[in-house]
Amino acid sequence: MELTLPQASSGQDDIDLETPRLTVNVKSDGSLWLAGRPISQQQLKVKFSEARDKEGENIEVRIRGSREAPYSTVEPIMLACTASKIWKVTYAVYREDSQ
Amino acid sequence: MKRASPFIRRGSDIDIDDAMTPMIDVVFLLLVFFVWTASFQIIEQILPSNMSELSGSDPANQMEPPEPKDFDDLVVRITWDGQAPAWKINDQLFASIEEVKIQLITIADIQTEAIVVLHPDPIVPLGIVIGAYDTAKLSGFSKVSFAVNPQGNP
Repeated sequence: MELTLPQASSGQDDIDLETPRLTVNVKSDGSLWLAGRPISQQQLKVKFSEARDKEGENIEVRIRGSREAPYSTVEPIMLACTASKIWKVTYAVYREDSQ
Repeated sequence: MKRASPFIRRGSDIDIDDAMTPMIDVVFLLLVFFVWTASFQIIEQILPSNMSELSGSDPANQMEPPEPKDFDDLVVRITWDGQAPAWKINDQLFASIEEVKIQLITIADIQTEAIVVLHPDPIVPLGIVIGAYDTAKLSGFSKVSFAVNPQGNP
């Protein structure tokens, strides 16, 4: 999904291809998307819990959020992570000098 | 009927159009190949962030007092007026993210073990929040966390 991601200078290259991962996309209108489909905050908690039970504590949640999306739309993702005992959360960013 | 090769010189009679056509074909084929195989997508990077249990979320631990800390948390408040962010570090107002960075670097020289808590308003754009997270990391703080509202947003 094409999004205008936030920019950061301290970003790291994504070299870890082994870790099981759930990627949540957050559009600029605040809608949440998981696996190409829109998803509600309640459904997100269920999906996270199922994935945590299946993959174990090593699972990662990646938040790909539009830089225009309000923080209030990302907050529930973090809450769903802690509720599902997922501790590894990463944010997708562009390098500061890339745009 | 045998067709004359365009590459064979017949006296001074050279057809330059015939001679150039295969080369132009090859050049265009190479051009098309490189354009198709080139990637114009900007490479994404990641900002890792470790989540921790919400304080007070476990009823069994609610009666226990919190562990004493060597340093107070640095709470970075971010508000948004629809146009630009406003910044506060522990209730002290700053005009820009550059000023926030200078202040954080100054503090980090003394106490890098302190926790920076980013507390944005719900309407603050994510780009500003991630920018603040990035700034705190670049200032030398290893522990940067986000404040969340456990009751959800109104």
